[in-house]
Amino acid sequence: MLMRTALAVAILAVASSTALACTVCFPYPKATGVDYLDDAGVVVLARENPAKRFSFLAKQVLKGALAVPEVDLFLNSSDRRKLTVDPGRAAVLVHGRFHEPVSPTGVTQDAPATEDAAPAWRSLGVASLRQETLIRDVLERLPQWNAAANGDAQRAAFFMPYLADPERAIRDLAYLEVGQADYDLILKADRFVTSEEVQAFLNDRQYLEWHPLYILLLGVNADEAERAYIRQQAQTRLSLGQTINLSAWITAYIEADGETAIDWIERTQLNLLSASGEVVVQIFDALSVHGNRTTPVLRDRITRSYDVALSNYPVLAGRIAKDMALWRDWTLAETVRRVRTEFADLDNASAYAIDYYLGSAETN
Amino acid sequence: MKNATAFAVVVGLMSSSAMATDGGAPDPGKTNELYPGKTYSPYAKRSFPSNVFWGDTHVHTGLSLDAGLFGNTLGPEDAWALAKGREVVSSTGLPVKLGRPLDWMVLTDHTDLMGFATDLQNGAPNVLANEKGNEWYTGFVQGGTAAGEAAVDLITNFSQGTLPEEFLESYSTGAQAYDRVWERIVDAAEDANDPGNFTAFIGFEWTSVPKGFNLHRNVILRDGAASALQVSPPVTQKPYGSTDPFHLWKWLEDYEDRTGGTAMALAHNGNLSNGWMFPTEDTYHGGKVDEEYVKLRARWEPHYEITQIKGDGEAHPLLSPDDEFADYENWDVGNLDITELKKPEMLGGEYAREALKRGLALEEEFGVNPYKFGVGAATDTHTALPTAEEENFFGKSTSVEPSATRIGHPFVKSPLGAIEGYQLLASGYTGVWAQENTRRAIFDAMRRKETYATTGPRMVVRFFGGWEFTEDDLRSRAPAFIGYEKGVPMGGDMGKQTSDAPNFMIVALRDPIGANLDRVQVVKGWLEADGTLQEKVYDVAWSDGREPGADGKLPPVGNTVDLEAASWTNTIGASELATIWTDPDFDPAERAFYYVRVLEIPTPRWVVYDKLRFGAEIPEESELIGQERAYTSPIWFTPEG
Repeated sequence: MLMRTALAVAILAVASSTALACTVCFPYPKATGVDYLDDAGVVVLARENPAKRFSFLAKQVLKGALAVPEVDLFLNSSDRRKLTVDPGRAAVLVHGRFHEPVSPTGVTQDAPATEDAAPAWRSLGVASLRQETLIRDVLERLPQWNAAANGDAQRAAFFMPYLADPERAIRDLAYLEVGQADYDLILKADRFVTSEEVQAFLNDRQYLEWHPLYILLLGVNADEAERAYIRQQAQTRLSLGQTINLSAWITAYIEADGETAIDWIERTQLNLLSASGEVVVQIFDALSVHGNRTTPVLRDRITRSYDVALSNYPVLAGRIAKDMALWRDWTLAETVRRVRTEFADLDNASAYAIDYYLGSAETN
Repeated sequence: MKNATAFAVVVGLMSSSAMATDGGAPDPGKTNELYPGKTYSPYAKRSFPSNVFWGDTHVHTGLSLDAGLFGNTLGPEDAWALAKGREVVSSTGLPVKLGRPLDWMVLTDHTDLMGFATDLQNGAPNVLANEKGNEWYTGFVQGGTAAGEAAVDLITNFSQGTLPEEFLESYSTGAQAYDRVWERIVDAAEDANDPGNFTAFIGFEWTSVPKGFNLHRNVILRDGAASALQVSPPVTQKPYGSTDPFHLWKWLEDYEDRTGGTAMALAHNGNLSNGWMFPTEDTYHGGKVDEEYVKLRARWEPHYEITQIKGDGEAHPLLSPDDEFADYENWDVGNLDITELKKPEMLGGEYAREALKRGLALEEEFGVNPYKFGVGAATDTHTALPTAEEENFFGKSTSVEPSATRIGHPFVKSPLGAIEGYQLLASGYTGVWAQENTRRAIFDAMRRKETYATTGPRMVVRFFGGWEFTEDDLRSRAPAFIGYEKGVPMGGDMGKQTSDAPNFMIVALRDPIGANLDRVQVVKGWLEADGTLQEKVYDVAWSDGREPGADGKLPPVGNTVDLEAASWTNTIGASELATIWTDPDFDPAERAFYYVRVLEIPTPRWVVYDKLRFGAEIPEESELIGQERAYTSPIWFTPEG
């Protein structure tokens, strides 16, 4: 399964939720419908098999080849009704090595496919005619996206206009696709959705895990009222140590208030030793997003915050070293070296990143 | 076609024999046992139930963790007030009142972390003393997204086992804070209980949901505070409890031993259990369906929630392909959180009709039928508002209380699928045939299974099984006497065989303020000699003089629904249907059960009212019209020897 590693993923990844007795929020998928289309060996349009109720019969192959049209997959009553009321609609079925979802104590997860998963069919749902057209379009474009160096960006840009689509299923797909893009690209999505739509979505608690993308958009070209709102949301969460969607709020805060926001974060969080490990990691994620922008206007200021963070939160050293190496900025080499010396129990990834940074610093 | 025309028949079934000495009166000798007093007054000393009492076995208040965290601010006192017919204000600020009061109700708040959400919102000292608790409280005080995030953070910590230990400990069985909440629930029920007028049961929901498989059970106590306060309800979180039903059954046994009281559990509609609600070989928890399992299940779970807001659980069209009415409000996408999709082989372990059939086979093997249950219906509302009326439906949770957008908002959504808002079912209530409106009488009726479920309407249904019913019995002015004299009521076991085939006296009367009736059906399930389980649905009484077609199917009753006005007319259907029906396929060597399904004529679903009142958009795939129904508890036949 294609799992792109765009920086925004870190911002958009939040804790999985659960159904306790009744489901209270919708989990944010790790894979999108386009990922399934991409990874599937076979994609078909299917309707109910008249010879075997509650199962499928493929009507059209959109990708790959199919030996027999019968698809042994349960057609649930909801989708069956959709097919019944509109004979023009079809279910989109994909065949591939998809992992069965994992549900440890009610925690919803989907998992990327791997070679050891058994080949199986999965339904992506019943498509409207517009969805079907979109799927055909996507299947045509996927080879090009996969081959191009900036294919991920092309893919995200393609979906941006669909953020305002009248069909929820298409909007949701676009949301997930755009959410996988780089931050700089995400910001361009701002013109496709109104602030009213953003606010309405953010007020829907059941979509809480989905909120980060629109939190980020809230910070783009924010007016004074929006800036005040974002500031209040971010500062409150930081004060409370409330970590759900925290990095998204901090990213939006920095987008809205720039260095002033970093000053506040540094003063109230990084300069103190009271922030929890999870909070400082989310602060780092937000700083890193801004430091890694194509035009990193805040990078110097962020570097100074990294210096402060290193002193109080050495757990961030590996992450910081990785960014600094990427930026080819060796000004924190001595501080990082001290952390490397003083903290022997760094995890392997951090130790490697630090060693790489220090090695590179010596040769530059 | 058997279409009873005498309104007095049904009146007689309800309150039996105001004119018992008129034509068709019972044999005094035979009724002596039923009617031991033989007083001048035909109403005195009666030993069988003559009233149906309406109630809900499954209602959550803000004390349930999920309900409270997501906006339900109503407590037990509000729920009792609404059930008793008073007007209350919902958590979203809407005035609400039931069309008719209920006669009884069970409040069944989730036991795990019961009351924690309320204490959190109120800033209870024990919650604020904890750093995390303080953080969540501040989030709730802020409201909006901060409150939502606090709620999800709490739920996430709970599900991932990272909740501060002191909270788990404080809100689990036997802890002081938890028992304080239990005391509040008990006290509220005691205050609401009004013997003879309204019955407020003490109860709770044991919230077993391993890996999203819904194995919940509602527990009902027959007793009052004196017994209830001697115990502390069980939870499922380790190390304080377990999700294994054996844990619950042991708790029930301990309760009875300790208090001398009586309790029972009833299984939640099994449609989201992915086949684990009615196992036949292995249980979810790694045990076997063996002699011990069948005995304990039969002992502690005599009643089943066949329909509720989260879908109808009587039958599935894949299991019952010849039943044209089985395709009704089925939820078969996956388990509760849709982390596992449904597979055809799971359905048999989820639906009531199949479970009743499986029970016959298990009885053949073990001598005990673990799935010999009576049926009832409930709302499972998490709003504290037990509304099962289509025109007065306050939804599953506070987030889907009446609004212009609730139809289009998913109820549950996961990467694997979704249940859409329009699929919520405004269901249902339980009718109980009891002699009086008291805890004891209603509980005992549920234990003996003299109950039936409806998807909301309050139709009156009588169902008796015997061997000697005649058409004359149907014309009796005192049919209930005849029913009890010559047969057994719903929930019973057929008596000794005295004729070639069993026959049944069935009478159904429409809800006085509801829709006419389309038809009455008998659903039969049986076990053949070779171990094959079979079923058949018989149309036994219907309206409008229709004739079955060449395929044996009765033509549809028609449709008077006006979607623009969200209304219908009772110009089709019948206000009452009655029949004596004899099983034409009876084999005395085969174990069997029979239950009745009563169908109303088509009426608008709740979404149509939302469109009328809010201008709500309804997706084209949403059902707009439904045929509400009643399901009686079965009557079982067991071969002699």
